[in-house]
Amino acid sequence: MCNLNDRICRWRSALAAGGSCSGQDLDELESHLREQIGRLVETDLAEDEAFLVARHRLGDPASLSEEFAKVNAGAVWRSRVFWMAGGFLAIEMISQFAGLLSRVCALAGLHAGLSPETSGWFSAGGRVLALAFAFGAAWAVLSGKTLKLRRRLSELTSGASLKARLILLVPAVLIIVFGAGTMLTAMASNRLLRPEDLGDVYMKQAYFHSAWSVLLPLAMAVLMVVLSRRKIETAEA
Amino acid sequence: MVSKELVAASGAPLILSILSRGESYGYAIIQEVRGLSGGRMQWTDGMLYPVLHRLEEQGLIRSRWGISETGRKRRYYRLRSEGGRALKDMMNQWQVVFSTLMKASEGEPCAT
Repeated sequence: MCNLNDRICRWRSALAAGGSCSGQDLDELESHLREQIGRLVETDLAEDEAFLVARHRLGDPASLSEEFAKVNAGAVWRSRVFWMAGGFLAIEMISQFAGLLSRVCALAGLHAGLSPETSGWFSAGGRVLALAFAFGAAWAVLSGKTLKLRRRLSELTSGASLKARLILLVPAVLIIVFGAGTMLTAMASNRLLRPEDLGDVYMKQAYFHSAWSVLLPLAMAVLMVVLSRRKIETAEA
Repeated sequence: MVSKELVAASGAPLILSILSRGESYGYAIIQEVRGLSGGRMQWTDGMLYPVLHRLEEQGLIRSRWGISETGRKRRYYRLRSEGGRALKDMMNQWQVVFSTLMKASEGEPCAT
């Protein structure tokens, strides 16, 4: 038995998912919906039925989104650019994280007295681990485990609020942090290597860097295919 | 039942007319339209709001956020002077259309 607030919440997320309504638009529509429900309930309609009638009268989400998109055209494109920038930053962040992890592993190996050869394998392992972690996180976000987070993000980013744009700072800062970390660990591990080993280590890193360039797009393609088969859980019941 | 195209075309002048009587908000405007047309003009409630936003963008109306009797946030709209002028202009246009239609259907010879 879903309570009224839950249903209204899900209705609101379905509208927000269209991407063309700002937070204020949604507030206005929700206020209208609640007032309509209130009036209908006064005429002795059950809450459930009142919700259905009010929702029907308000209009189907698809046409509403279309109409709002026409009025909020600028905001819709800003939202798209935001998501594209976010995607780019996310990938760069994962790459930097993988690079950092691999160098930390190499450094750990060298520090522990392992041969440069083994440390090379260690660093490759670090990179694979980072990729697996990123893949798992993407899976969790997109398969509905973090529904509340997605709803919040959807609403935040479909508005023109500065708050939404500031979220982009998070991956940007992390990229700088990871990049700096990578440089430091690279410098540290180079000190532990004899000059003649350097070539070997860099060769190994080059191999795995190219493997990474193949693995990353492959991983994304797999993610897309798998996600297109399952339905991404949306908010509408 | 009035056709969708006519409902869409008359949306702006209707809203401006209703607002010319005083400040109002979305739900009340819809109720007013339903009442005025005797239910023969069916509006999809949600479609009112993009029209209101467009009118605001055009500088014909102004909005403010207030609190309803039930304590909920509510957005109120009121007519601006440009809106009043635009409304007069729209009403004139509708008057021209209406009288032309009437003359055409009555078969009166057209006066040049």
